[in-house]
Amino acid sequence: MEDISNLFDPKYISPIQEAAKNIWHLLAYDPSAPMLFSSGLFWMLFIIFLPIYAMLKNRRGQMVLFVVCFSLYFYYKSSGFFFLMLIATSMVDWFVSHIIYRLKVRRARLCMMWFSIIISLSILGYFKYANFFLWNWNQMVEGNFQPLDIILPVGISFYTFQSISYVVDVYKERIAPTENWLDYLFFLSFFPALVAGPIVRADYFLPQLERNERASNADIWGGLWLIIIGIIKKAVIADYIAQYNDLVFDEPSLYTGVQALMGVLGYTMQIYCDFSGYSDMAIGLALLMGFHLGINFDSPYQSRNLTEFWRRWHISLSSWLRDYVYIPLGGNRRGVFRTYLNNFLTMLIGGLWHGAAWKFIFWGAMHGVGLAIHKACRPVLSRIPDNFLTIFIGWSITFVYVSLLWVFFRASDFATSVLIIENIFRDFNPAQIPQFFEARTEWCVMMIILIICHFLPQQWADVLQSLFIRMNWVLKLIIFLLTVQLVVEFMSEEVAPFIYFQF
Amino acid sequence: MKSNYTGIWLLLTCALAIMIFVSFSDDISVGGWTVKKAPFAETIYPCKFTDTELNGYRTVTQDSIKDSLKEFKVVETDSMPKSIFMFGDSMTYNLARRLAKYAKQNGHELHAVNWDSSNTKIWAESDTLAYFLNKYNPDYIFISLGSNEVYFKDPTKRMPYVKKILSLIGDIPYVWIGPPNWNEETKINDMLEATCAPGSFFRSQGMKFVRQQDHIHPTRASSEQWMDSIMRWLPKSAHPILAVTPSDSIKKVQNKVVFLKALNR
Repeated sequence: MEDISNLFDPKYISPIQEAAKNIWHLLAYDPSAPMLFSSGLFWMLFIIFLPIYAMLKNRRGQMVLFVVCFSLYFYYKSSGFFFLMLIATSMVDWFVSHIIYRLKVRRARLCMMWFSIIISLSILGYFKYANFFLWNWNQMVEGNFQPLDIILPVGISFYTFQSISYVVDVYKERIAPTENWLDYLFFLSFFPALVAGPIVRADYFLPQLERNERASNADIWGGLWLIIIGIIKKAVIADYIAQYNDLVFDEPSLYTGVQALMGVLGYTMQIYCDFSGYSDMAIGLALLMGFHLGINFDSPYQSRNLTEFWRRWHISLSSWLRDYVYIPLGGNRRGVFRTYLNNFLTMLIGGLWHGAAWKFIFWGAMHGVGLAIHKACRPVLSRIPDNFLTIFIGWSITFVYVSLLWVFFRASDFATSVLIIENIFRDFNPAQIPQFFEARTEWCVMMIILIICHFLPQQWADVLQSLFIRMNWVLKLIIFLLTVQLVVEFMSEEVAPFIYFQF
Repeated sequence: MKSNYTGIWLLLTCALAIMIFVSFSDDISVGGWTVKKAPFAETIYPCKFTDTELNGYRTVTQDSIKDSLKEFKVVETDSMPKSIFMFGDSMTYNLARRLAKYAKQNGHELHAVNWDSSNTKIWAESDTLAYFLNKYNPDYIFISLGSNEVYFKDPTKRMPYVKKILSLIGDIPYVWIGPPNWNEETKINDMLEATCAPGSFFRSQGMKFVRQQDHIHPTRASSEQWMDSIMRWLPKSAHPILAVTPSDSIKKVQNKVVFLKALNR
């Protein structure tokens, strides 16, 4: 029993006070603990959010205000007071879009559009690329580089692209600006897609907000199904297989060719599970609230060529790059050479979008080269008949190329990437494969299951989803509980931030 | 609430309630498998996890440390530079940061492996320790394990794993750093002390720590003080080595710490 004399001591903190203090700490901004959809805190808050959202759903204005507040808090929890910058960006965009809409002179409209784009890109450039450019500048002039103390606001790359697409769409008269600033802030700060996408397009999203339709039962339970799948992909599979992959990428010289190859294969699947898992959670959450965000990944490793890969991988980004970079650059309308060049430049920008480092630029450039080569070979490829062998060869080349490029994406520097690839080609002894399987049985089994699941037809996944939607409530609860327990069983001591978090 | 949201809300609420209930209840075992608990209790319920620093109440005694020291006579310090290997759970990294400075000051070489959430069972049953011993070929070892076993009701069940780790280490001199308890004694320290060779166990229990927000891990500064205490104790250990306090001129030392993520066994 607790000593009662403690109560009179000024140092004494009662359990309730202590609990309150802990909860307060939990709710405050902590840069080391961003709020992820797979975290317990998010789900506790979402349980409070959901009934209020449901009550306000028919009162559109109040619903918008409530969701905006929740989204801003969500952003505050991940990025602190940068949520004010998000508000400021939305204000500038909204005012500029209205000016563009009202202006009749094309040149003036164009100026206003560029004004908004330059502001958005300047903010992104400062936070994301300033140190990178300064470092390169100092390398050229051989100066003493002191990195600026800049914190990258979470998800800035995502909402900047949303903001640009909104202003461009208003300029191109694809959409009218929202009458209400809050509606635009709702779009820009919509919490399911705020920190890691998908990149939501205004022409797709704003009409849904306008209609404000109630989520059907299929939406709600289908959304929960996507969340469950996303949690398994992200918090169970990706975080688990990452443990081995990190070893290989951290000290590649310690590993044989077989081990390095497994690390590369592992990372290929890890980045897919990590990012598509988080996308699934985001799409599921939005669906649960009655908003459709579209799909972001469509079994990308089934692709038979690089063009197909980019139609299946991070669809919201690749379609954004197509519509707002590739086509404005001239697309395929200016001859063969310009088509290749435009492709290359688009992918280069795509690479730079992923991070401020040469490795990302190289990764993007190599994808650009690959796309150009595929386009150049198309006339020949189209004459080759489709059969199992040709399909397999096409798939193999694509998969190997994509996987090898992931090495440059993941490794800390170029030399490490080369070392890993060298290991695979120089020090590969197939006799070690059974030994590897024996030593890392759980990891191998998980990878095999994952690869099999990835290649199953989409219809199977659809059937499972519809089965879940029709399932008895108790069974749904059991499945959800099992998923959560699976996460707890696999949970790392420190939450592994998902790979696309800082993009 | 609209009726079509009632089902999902109830489902999420029930799931949360069950997870919280499990988190606060005693261990649940199914067959040989113990259900891992979601960390609600550690986060919310303070009493179970209050540490000495926070409530300022528990009387801190160093008697156990003094008692353990009485048993051993001071042996001569080995003045040769050592190849030190430190391994253990998530406490290791911050300890290794400070130990790296000692190594630099005293001419030792340090390699460290920080395996998050690891425990004696994981280290004993995996080939990881043998691998790193073979890789670094150390002649002095620091072990920081036991923090993830503080709550085991019967720590003697972990003794075979501790023995296995010590057998893997063989004749290499070592110091086992006891867990920085943030809870009442669960006998893990007694078990470790009894299993380790005399003068090779540093009992951290009873020391005051400033903790991180998880109320478990000492802060970086507190970990440095912790390492300082260990190094001050070292001359009285079974295998003293050079442990002169790092001079202020040693500002930053490149750490050779390998990170292994939680294996969740």
